[in-house]
Amino acid sequence: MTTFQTNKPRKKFTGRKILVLADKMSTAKFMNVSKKSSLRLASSRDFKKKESFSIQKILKEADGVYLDKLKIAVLNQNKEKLKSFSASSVVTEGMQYMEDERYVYKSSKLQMMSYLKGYKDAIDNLFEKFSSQDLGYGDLPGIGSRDVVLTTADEDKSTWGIKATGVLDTELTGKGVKVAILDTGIYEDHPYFSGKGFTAKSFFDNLEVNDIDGHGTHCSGVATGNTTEQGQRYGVAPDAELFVGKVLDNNGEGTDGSLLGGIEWAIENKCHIISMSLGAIVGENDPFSQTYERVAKRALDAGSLIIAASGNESNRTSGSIAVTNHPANCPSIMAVGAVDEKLKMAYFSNGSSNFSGGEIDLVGPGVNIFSTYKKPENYYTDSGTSMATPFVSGIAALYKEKHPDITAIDLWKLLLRNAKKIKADAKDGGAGLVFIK
Amino acid sequence: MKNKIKTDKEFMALVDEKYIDKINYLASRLRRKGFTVKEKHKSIGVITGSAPLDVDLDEFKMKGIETMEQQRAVRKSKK
Repeated sequence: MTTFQTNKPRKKFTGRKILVLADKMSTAKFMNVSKKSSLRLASSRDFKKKESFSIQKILKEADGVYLDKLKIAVLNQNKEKLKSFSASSVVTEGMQYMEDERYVYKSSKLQMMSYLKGYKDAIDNLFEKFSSQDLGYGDLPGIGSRDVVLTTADEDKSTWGIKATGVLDTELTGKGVKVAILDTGIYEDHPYFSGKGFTAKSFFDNLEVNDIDGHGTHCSGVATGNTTEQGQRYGVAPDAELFVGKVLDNNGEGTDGSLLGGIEWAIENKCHIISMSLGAIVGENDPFSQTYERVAKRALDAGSLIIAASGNESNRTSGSIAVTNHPANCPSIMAVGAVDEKLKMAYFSNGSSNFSGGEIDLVGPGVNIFSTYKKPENYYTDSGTSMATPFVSGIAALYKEKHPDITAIDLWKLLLRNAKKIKADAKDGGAGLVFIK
Repeated sequence: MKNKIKTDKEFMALVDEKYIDKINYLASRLRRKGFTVKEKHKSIGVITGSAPLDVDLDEFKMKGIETMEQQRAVRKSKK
């Protein structure tokens, strides 16, 4: 039985006022009146170019904040100034209403999580009880059989991720499949890649494809690398044809514009898989990008499956789970989370978005992942949903090799169907760990 | 007058499926409205570029352009 803890009484109001303007009231007029009432208002329009826009921070310095798009002002409690301001006929006529600002809290998320955890434990107990009996479902993935949860580590023969995802046990190599890695480029003189060969393009006027950062080289290695000189397997699909689009600069940063250029290039080159270990942080209730959603649908129609990282803004050890980044939050883009060596959710791995279609689809190995890197190291161990994403992309290439005529959407379904169950909610781990059967 | 417009808000315009063949025409219409067109991605039906800083991109949706969005900065998802 699950019991809920009694919460302490929460504060209801902040002491500030929220003023909602009527549609007819123009922003310029409103700002003008506030200025005359010596009310110092900051406008959200002035902060669009900045990465962070903290209303709390601004309210410490100004009398209020005007949210340009919403036509709403949040005003600090300053009786004298507010009195003179509210008395203005322009405000009276142009104001729809004014109300006290409330505190907002997470909507019982913790209570719900606690309840769900109890429910999940009960189901797990039932499962353990019945799974010892032969229910007749044998090997059907995801039905009646819980796959063994591995605890694994890098070995001489392979990295832990290669072993955990079944890559070591398959003869598939990705032959005949084109994989695009849209990232920081590739270290062109890397002993492995200079031998393997690749097609590359930079989407920056002034930057070469060569990877100064190392991130793109690492991701390329996970998806299409092979073994080290010592014989340790680290790459998933060594025979896949590699396309490298440099859409992030040498600091690992880019824009939607450079990324869209890379996606188009990959589609034009008929890449079956487009792997994007990148993203932009979004607000908890932000919608997905209509542009990317349509582009991803067009890609699917053209035979390209886009796979993207969910992001690393969570801190699961303290209970904080961020939502999936842009553009992985688009319904037509496969969103990938990360697990660690014990196949538990990586503490940093983001969870599903708060809308249908924005869920995590799969997880891949994303903690302590060994792969190719820039010089002088040539190889490096790194962590992030960035590393989990090329695992999924590489395994997608293996399935594509196995089923050359499969459509991009059916490839997506196949990946989900063959995922290995892990001990995580679907909201966090999707269908489970990507796995090649 | 045209030179006085600041053009540093980057946009992406999603072209309606039926108008992808007319992407050049749509790009020229955006130019006439003061936008700078950087790329026309015909395969995916997207026009990118920069727009006057103060404009509300939503107001520039037109026949053939489904959505106008401001571009975001993206970065690697390394922990």
